[in-house]
Amino acid sequence: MMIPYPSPRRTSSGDPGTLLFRKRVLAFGDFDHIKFTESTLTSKADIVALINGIEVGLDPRQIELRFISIGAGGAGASGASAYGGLAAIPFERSLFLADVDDGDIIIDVGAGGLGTAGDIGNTGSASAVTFANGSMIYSQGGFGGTSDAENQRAFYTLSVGYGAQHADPTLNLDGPSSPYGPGCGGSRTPAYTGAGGFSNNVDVDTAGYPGFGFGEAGSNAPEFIAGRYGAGGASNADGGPGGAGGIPGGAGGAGDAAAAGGEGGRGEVQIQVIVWEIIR
Amino acid sequence: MNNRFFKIDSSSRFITAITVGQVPRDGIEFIQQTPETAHVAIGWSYAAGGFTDTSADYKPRRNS
Repeated sequence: MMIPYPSPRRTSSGDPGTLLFRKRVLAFGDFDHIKFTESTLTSKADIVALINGIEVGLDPRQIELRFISIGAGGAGASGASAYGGLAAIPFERSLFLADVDDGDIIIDVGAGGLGTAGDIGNTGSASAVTFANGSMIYSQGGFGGTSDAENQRAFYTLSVGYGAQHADPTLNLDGPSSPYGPGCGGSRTPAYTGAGGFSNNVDVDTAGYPGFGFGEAGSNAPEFIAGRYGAGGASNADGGPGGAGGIPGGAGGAGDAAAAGGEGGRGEVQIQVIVWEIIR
Repeated sequence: MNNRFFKIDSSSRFITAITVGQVPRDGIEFIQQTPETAHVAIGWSYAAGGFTDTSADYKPRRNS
């Protein structure tokens, strides 16, 4: 069978009429996004003013706002056998500036879960962007580590329902890595002291290094770059606390029975501004 | 601890989150977390100046 040969579209002058587009990320100083590390009342007008401070004359229909909400990481549990906390589950949605509701935009930034000696870890809090019409861009915080496999799996199941992509944390004492998110905290038994999990493990260039040594914290994400996350903290033995989760969203490692589980990394909200434009 | 706040649903009194900083608005109030309340978590309640562990009755809702 003969494949029909496509006839090239031509303008009246005979030129093929090709348009070249690109998406250009607007830089804010050293940052490739607008960053919120604490809860803030802002507005569409504030965002427009920030953009105009960098570049004027853009059409609101050509400005894509990539909102990335990142909840806080969960704390590790504490005990002779204890699980690390779970990673936050980031969520992002893009809106063109022209389609964003006029009025207030509320940014809530979740605080990391805290650990307590001899107890389970507290859950990290959600981060969210709330628009004037009530619409939200919401990221669930990571659940706290527990002291038994049944509860840990129950929280893991909830995490998957929110979009977590890492493995079941009861399958291995080293905290699971996330392919596209923060890392989980390391777990422990009297016989084994688990490391934390990598963040963004799908890509070696953007992965965050977890805690490996006793109680070592997970690394924080490079703050200038959007879409990177904290790694998981290591667990601890010998009476020491669990390693803290990296910022943003990494989970804390399990602590020894006499010491607290590691604190989860705080959350964050990032807005990347992407300009759609014609090259020629 | 000095920049951590309990986010409280004004009608149910449940603590729905702990946030870095605070944005009070209609229906949602904030109270600062202190070293004395470090153990207080999501699902507890704040009423009449005191915190109570009500997490067994707490059903998370994403829009609060």
